[in-house]
Order: sequence, then structure tokens, then C-alpha cells
Amino acid sequence: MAKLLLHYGKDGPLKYLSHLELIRAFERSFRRAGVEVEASGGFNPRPKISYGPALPVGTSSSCEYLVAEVKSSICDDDIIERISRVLPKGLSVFRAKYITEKQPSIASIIECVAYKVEVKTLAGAGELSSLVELLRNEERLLIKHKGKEKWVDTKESILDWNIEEAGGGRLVFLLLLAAGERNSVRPEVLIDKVNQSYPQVQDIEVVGIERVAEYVNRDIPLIDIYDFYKNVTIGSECEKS
Amino acid sequence: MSLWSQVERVLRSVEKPTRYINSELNSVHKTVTGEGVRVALAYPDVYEVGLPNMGLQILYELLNGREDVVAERAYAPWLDMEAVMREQSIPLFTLESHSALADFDILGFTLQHELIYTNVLNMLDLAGLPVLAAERGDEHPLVIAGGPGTVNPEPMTPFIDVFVVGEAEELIFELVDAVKELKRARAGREEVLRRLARIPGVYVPTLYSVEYNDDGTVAKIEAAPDAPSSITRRIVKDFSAIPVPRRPIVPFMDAVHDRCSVEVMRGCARGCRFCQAGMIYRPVRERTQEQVVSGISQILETTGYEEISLSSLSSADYSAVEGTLKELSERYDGQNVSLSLPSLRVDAFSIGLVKEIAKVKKTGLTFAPEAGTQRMRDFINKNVTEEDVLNTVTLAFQEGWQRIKLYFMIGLPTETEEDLQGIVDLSQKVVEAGLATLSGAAKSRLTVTVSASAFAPKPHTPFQWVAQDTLEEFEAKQGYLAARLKGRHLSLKWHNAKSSVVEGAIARGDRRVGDAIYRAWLLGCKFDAWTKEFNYESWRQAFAEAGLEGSFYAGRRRDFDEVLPWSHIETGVDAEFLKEEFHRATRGEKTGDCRFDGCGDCGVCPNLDAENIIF
Ligand code: SF4
Repeated sequence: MAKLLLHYGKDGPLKYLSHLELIRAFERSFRRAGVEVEASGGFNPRPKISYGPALPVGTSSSCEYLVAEVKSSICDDDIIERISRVLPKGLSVFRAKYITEKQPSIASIIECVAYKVEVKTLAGAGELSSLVELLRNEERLLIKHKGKEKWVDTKESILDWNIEEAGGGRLVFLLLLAAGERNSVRPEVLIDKVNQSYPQVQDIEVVGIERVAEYVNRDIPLIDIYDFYKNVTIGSECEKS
Repeated sequence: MSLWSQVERVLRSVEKPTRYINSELNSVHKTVTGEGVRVALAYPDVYEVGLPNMGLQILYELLNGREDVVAERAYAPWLDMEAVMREQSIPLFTLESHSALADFDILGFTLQHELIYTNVLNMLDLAGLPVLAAERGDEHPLVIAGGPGTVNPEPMTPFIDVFVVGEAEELIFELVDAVKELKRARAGREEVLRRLARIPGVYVPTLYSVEYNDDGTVAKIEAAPDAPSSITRRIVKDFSAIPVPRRPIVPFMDAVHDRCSVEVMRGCARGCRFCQAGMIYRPVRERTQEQVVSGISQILETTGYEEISLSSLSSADYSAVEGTLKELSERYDGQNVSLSLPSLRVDAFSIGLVKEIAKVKKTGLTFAPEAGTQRMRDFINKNVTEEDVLNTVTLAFQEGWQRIKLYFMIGLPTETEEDLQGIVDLSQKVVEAGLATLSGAAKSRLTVTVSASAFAPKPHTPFQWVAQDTLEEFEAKQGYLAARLKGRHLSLKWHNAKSSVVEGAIARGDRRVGDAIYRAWLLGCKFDAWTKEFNYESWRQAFAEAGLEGSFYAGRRRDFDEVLPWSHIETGVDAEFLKEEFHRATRGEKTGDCRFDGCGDCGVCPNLDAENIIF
């Protein structure tokens, strides 16, 4: 048995898969690739694969991770090739490595997440920047999402941000937002907040959201989750297919 | 032109957006040149119901196997999606290229059962096409329909240009070739229809005229001079010559069936007299064990499925069922692949089979005695005795099953209170058998679920002449059962009798019933098979507006000499045989299974130049 860390992405129409649908797609892909995954015991055995935090439906990502307990150790470059060959279009595997046994779960260690949010708006980058700065200067923000409300500490939740022109009346927000238990906030909720707070720019329409990086800390230098996990070399005994 | 950007813009506002995306594994994304034929295969229900449909998947793979053809799929958008599509003027699209249905050469619908007919109309309308065939012109796709509903196509004739009767594996290529040629020749609609009518198994309703008697029954059905006087169902004579489809589409979302399903045979010769499928898919044609097993292994490779199902009308009757299951369970031992057998006979053999495949998981078992008394079971030719039922369930309890589902029908012809009481008694005896066999905690978990569905007589069966129960009769019978089927271990389930009555009227309807379907759709009926969406009042109003009585079609005892609205559709089973079967039923005589008990002279083999093929 070996623990395999896979860095993958979700894009195109497949960004509309729910987390459960994504899980099923991966389980079947492992089967098609002929990569045997350990199963849990019990009446309803499930493949032992753990995932990072669920990606909201409609969000694409180039920084998703999963850990699968595989039965035999296929060489890591080989595994990328085998799985890539059978994945549905829209899912792609970027990197893979074997990691040591005892490691905290992906979901439990992510502290902040970087997003690219593409929006359509009549406002210019400069105008929006000053509005976001105003928002950032407030000590606390009341965030409303799915009928729930919570207060977050502004500086703690919006760690960094930037706005770039993308042409064609489009702007891209680059956001570094807190994740996990404390002060977490979702990117679309933040854009909504800008809309609500400044009715004069109410025409900010979200075109697309992409998750671009996940980190295990919130301070500089940021440590990418993939680098955080220590790899083990499976060395000469790994199986080439 | 792809409508994807428009579709995507509304996806955030609808439930289950996965219904409307593409890129499922094994879906085919390709284009053809101007000469090629573009086919949209449409299933008139929501994605997760339509996707597993075997017929559609077979055609999809066959058609896409040709270089000059592209086949894409479309399903009925759910109500929330329909609302935004109408609001934003997004026409109905296929999944693969998100092209408007109107851009295809052929638009094919599966008529799986009567309660999806209004969805066909709604999909045509959403596609921006005239719903009535008479209003469509040369610029519109050819609208075709296949599936079991085509054995009585009449109610759908106002909406469909061409019906394809029977198994389409061979016919579809003849049709596509003809369409391709006609397209190149820029043939007009009328010419296209006349040409297609020459293909055996194709029914072009505009080439047939129907006259009625004063009492509303059909007087005669007349074919145009160059159209055949009757349409004979097409079949694949040697089913084992047809390769198992290798690349079924794997849905992302949870579909009603989401597994590797391989047809082990076509047809069933048990001869249950109420069962349309048992009559219209004859004769029995098996696939070999080798073919089934290798087909499954290929499908597992292309899909990654974790469950295998041997499908057919009665898989326990497949002659190689034991060997196949054994081979499969040995082959996939330890790989977390589960096996299932969807249709079980009421006998020890079936228990032996499921015991083999359900080594750990002992979920429920379903048996279908269909009727409560021996008299009624003999009447419907269901060759099962009370003893069979009790022995079988006892064996199941001994093997550790605790949940049993019993399937019955109410409203079978000649039914009396005694037959209803028989359902109650038999169900209670099953509970008693459970209590006597199970022990300890298992005893307290015992559940017997009784499902009582309201019988709707179907065309091309020995009961095609009988009157269906009225709604009041059905409801009284349901009340009778509800009052008596009580107790800690019993639960009763039934289907809405109102929808059975509507189903019954459409099933044996004539052309005029098309008007009722049209009005029902105008009144907002759609997704009629969904209990919550079904609107009985609208259907009543629709029949009334069309000047028709549903009971004329469903609740009337028909004369044996009456010209039935579907009499020009030949399934191969002779009307004489059906009549004789009805008489045998009345005399309490059973009819054997022609695979073992000798030919029963149903007519199928000589009429279709075929035979039972058992390996
Ligand atoms: S013709 Fe005879 S053998 Fe053929 S299906 Fe009918 S009863 Fe069976």
C-alpha cells in the first residue's frame, strides 16, 4: 500500500460537477486506469480516497488535490500518464507523488486560497481598487451567504488582492482569501459585498471564478500544499506499465 | 452553432446543472461535413431518467460508428431550466455540441411509455419547431419515433413524421442512407416520406387514412397506393450476431440506473397474458455466455463501472445465467464489483443465483406473484403457485434476507373481492413465513412491502379487448387493500390510479386521441410520469375539449370483430392467437413456454421468419 498525492484541475463544463459527482468520476477513472485503490471494510466498501475542500459548483480550479491509498506502487510519472488517458475531458492531472504514511488531511491544513475572479463591469480598475480599499479599511465585514450571516475580521479574511484589466470590458480580481475555520470567505460573496456596499457600481457581473492556489499558512512566504507533503521515493521497485 | 455560452450563463440558477453539460465519458464529440447526416436522439424525460435507456445508447453507438453520421443526445430540461430557457429564448439543444435541435436532419424520440408523450410535444416546442407534423416544412428536421409505444403509434401520429416499428439495429442504417441520399437530391418533405415508407418497419402515418363508424370505433384503415397495407415489426433475427455495445455513456450525475448493463437476450416466451413486452419482443433470442462475459469485460474497461447487471425481460430464464454469473463472480472476485439480476423468478433456482452474487450485501428481494389467487394467476398465465411463493420466500429468509417486496396488480379482468382478499392473505402468509423463519433481531427487521399497481390493458396482448377498471373501481380496491394490509411488518405501496387510467386511454387510443394529448400539453401537462407533476384534472379537460371520452378507449369491452386502431401494425403475433389466449384464460387453461413446451402457434416465428435461439 502507498499513499498517492495527486494534483489535478477541473475546467470547462466539468466545473458544474458537484463534489459527489467528481468523486464518482475519479473512482471510475482509477478503475479504468487499472490503478487499484484500497477499499474500506464493511457492508458497503468504499475506495480510500480523500479530497480537499469541495469546490463550489461552477468554480474551475487548477489546484485540487486528492490522496488515494493505492495497492501497488506504479511509478509516479507513469501514474499521471495512465490516469490522464482515461479522465473525462475537463479533468486533468498535473503532478503526482507518493507521500509518507502519517500526514494530516488536505482539508484540515489549508489556511488560505488564491482565486482569480473574472468580472464584467463598466467601472475601471482604478475606481474599483479604491472601493475595495475602502471596504478593506472597515474593521469587520458582515458576510451573507445562503441565508446565513457572519462577521469576519476584514484584514484576516482578505489577505491580499489586486485588480487587472483583462480587455473587452473585463477585469480580473486576484484574491487571496482565508480558508478553514477562522474568517473564511468565498470570492463570489466578496464581490456581492462590493456590489451591495457601492450601488453605483452595481453592474459587476461575475463571469468566471477559478481557484489557483492553496496554501498551508497565511504569511509570507506562502507554502503551497503540494510542497508541504513530504514525498517518499518508491525507487527502483516501482512498476512501469 | 454552439449555444453553450448562453446555456452556461443560466446554469448557476438551476438545480443539478450536470444535466445540461457534456463530456461524459464515452460521449462522442465530432462533426460531419455538409453531405453527412446529423441525428439528434431525444429522450422525452429528464437526463437522469433518459440516460440509461438502452435503446438510445445502442443507436448512439451504432450511428456514431459511421463516419458520415453524427448522433447527439437531448433530454427534457427540468421545469426550472425550461423556465429560464423560455425566458431567455434559448432553444432546446443537444448535449454534445449544444446545437439547437432544429439544426439536425433527423430528430428521433423514444416512446418508452404513454406518460412521456406530452414531453415529446414540449420538446418540439422548446426546440422552436411546430409541434404538429402538418405544420412542419422542408426546412425542419424529420421527426421520427421508436420504442415500444410504436406498436400503437396512432395517438402520436399528429406529431411524428415517421415511426420505426421494432428493433432498430438494422433498420436505422437503411433509414439514414435513404435520408442522406434524399438530402443530396434536395428532395421535398413529401417525397422523403414516400421514399421512407418503402423501408420495411417504417410507418408514415400521413399515407394512411382512418375512417370511423357512427359509434366511434374504427371502420377501416386505408393505405395510400404506394404504401404497404400493414407494417411489420422489424427484429434482429440472430441477436448473438449483434456485438455488445462497448462504450456506454457514463453519466456524471446519479442516474436511475448507473451500471454496466448487458442484454443477455431479447424476448420472453413465458406468455403472461397481461404483459405487452412478453408479446411484442418475441421470439426469444439469446447471446452466448462468451459474448456476454467478454462484452462486460470491455464495458468495464471503457467505463470503470462497479456494478454489473444482466438485463432482459426475465434474466433468470437466460439459459446460461448460472454459468455466466459464476464466471463473472470468479473473474471479479476481490475487485469490489457487484452483480445484480434485475428480474427474479419465484423459485429456489433464483434464490440460488442471488445467493451466489450477493455474498455480503443482502438488500431486499422482489418477487412478482402478480395476482392473489390461483384462479387469477391461471387466468393471466402466471405459472406460480402459493406454495412456490412461500417456499421461495422461506428460503430467502433462511439465507438471511429480511426485506421482501411483492408485486401485484389490481384491476385484472374478472377480478373479484376474493382475488383482492387473496393478495391480503398471501402477503400475510409471507409475513408469517418470515416470523417463523427469522430469529432474534432479524425478526424485528422483517419488512414485506406490497406493491399494487393499477392494471392498464395494452395493445397486442390477449387482454387488448377488455375494459380497464374505472378510477372509482381502482380507488375502492385500493381502499379495500389499505384497510386490510396492516401490521407491523407490512407496508403497502401503489401507483397513482389516476395516471393508470390516462395511460390506459392513450395506450389503446386512436388518432383522435392525439388531439387530447395536444390539448393536455396546451393545458400545461408534462412529466406526467412524475407523480407530483401529473395533473388529472387537466387531462380530463383535455379529453373533453377534444370531444372524447377517455373511458371509450380504456373502459369499454371491445368486440372481437372491432377494427382495432393498431390493427395495421403487425408485431408478428397473430390476432387469432391473442383471441385464443383470451378464451383459454376464461377457461382457466394455462399456456406453456414455447422454449420448452412446444410451439404455441403465436405466429411470430413464421411471420417474421425467425425462431427462438437458445444456446
Ligand atoms: S411461433 Fe411458436 S415458437 Fe415462435 S414465439 Fe410463437 S409460440 Fe414461440
